[in-house]
Amino acid sequence: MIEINGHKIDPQHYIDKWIKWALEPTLATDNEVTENVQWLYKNAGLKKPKVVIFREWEEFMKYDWTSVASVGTSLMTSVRASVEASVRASVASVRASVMASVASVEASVGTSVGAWYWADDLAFADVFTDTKVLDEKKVLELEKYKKVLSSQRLAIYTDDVCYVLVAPVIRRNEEGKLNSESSPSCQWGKTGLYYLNGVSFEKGLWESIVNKTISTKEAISLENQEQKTIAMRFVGGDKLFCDLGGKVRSKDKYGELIELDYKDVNNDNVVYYRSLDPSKNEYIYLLTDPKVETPQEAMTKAYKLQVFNLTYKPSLRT
Amino acid sequence: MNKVKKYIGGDKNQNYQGDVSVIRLDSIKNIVFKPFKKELKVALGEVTGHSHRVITKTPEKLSWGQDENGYYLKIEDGAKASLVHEEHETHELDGGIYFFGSQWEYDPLEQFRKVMD
Repeated sequence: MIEINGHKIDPQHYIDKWIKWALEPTLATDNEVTENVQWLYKNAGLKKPKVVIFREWEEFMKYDWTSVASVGTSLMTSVRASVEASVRASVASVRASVMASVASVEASVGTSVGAWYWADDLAFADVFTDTKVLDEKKVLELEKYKKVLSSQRLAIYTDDVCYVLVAPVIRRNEEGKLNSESSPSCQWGKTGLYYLNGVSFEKGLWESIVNKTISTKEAISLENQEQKTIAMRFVGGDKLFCDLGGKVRSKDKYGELIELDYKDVNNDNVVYYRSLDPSKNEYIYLLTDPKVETPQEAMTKAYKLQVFNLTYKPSLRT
Repeated sequence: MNKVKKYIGGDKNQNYQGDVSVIRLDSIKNIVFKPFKKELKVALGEVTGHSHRVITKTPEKLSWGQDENGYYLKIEDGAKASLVHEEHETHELDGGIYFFGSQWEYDPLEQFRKVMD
């Protein structure tokens, strides 16, 4: 909790709220996006621009940007002059602690929303309005900026034209990392960016991994260690066991530890826990800490049972 | 096909439904319990869309909470609930406090990551 103007606030509440806002796809129509951009230019003292709106990632990426000269700096200066100066003056004493929270917001969603630079004072506009450190006029102005920016997550501003890529649909896993095994994790229309557990993949490689058509040889040949780790997880224990010469290292009534003749990034031999899934009567494999000695210890760690001072000792598995 | 594996001498308070643990606890501290609504999804498979979820006929007698480890469920004495999943046998739960945890896979790059169905 931090205290602003006599009000105690929980930064996490505002972080969660902002992330939710930042990850929502653009709902604004082309007309609304255009009006918003023109309002930004007007506020910055620039002439009314033509607005080009992209709703597909690939169209945006294929555009010839070589001759485009950005005036983004002057727009940013205008926004900062209008928003930041007054916000900072009002909350100077607590700004540092609030901004420390912004860092976690940026780390969490920065790459996915394409507008990390807005995750600054505007991201925490609600903090300053809820704690009544800003006057009503400034509150309304902040709200307008938020509305404008929520319709243009990535924009290239030039003298005559503003190019806007609208916000995509974002898919993340429970840990908050960009992840989807069935569609782009950042999706604009039919195109997008592909991620697994926060790691970026080119579309073809992503498809071969999620469809499990990638071979063991291809997976272990990937130069990017993060991609390789994920690819090997998808290749699966059965295939790795056969292709990489696995041998049973230890065994108990809960399963087996299989050690592969292959080293991970820490130069440890890769070790899998293996047991029969009673619901399907087929083997399940779980990558495990190479330092564990028994399947029981592997499962104690896998279920984090040490939190309750327990060791893996099931009565029933279904 | 036998879809249930029983272990002689196992801990009666430790059961597992696929990759979800069902741990019965004596007590729990520092968890804020909220009223139970229609159901509680304790794990969801992205690809299959199948979920491990708790259902009951008496939601007013259940409450739930959550922390970074997983989900907690409090069932009043005399009430009952079920942990169901499309591919696994149902677990019947009676009065008590339960913890539902996911399986975490070792990741040499970041130690452990949660397993997704």
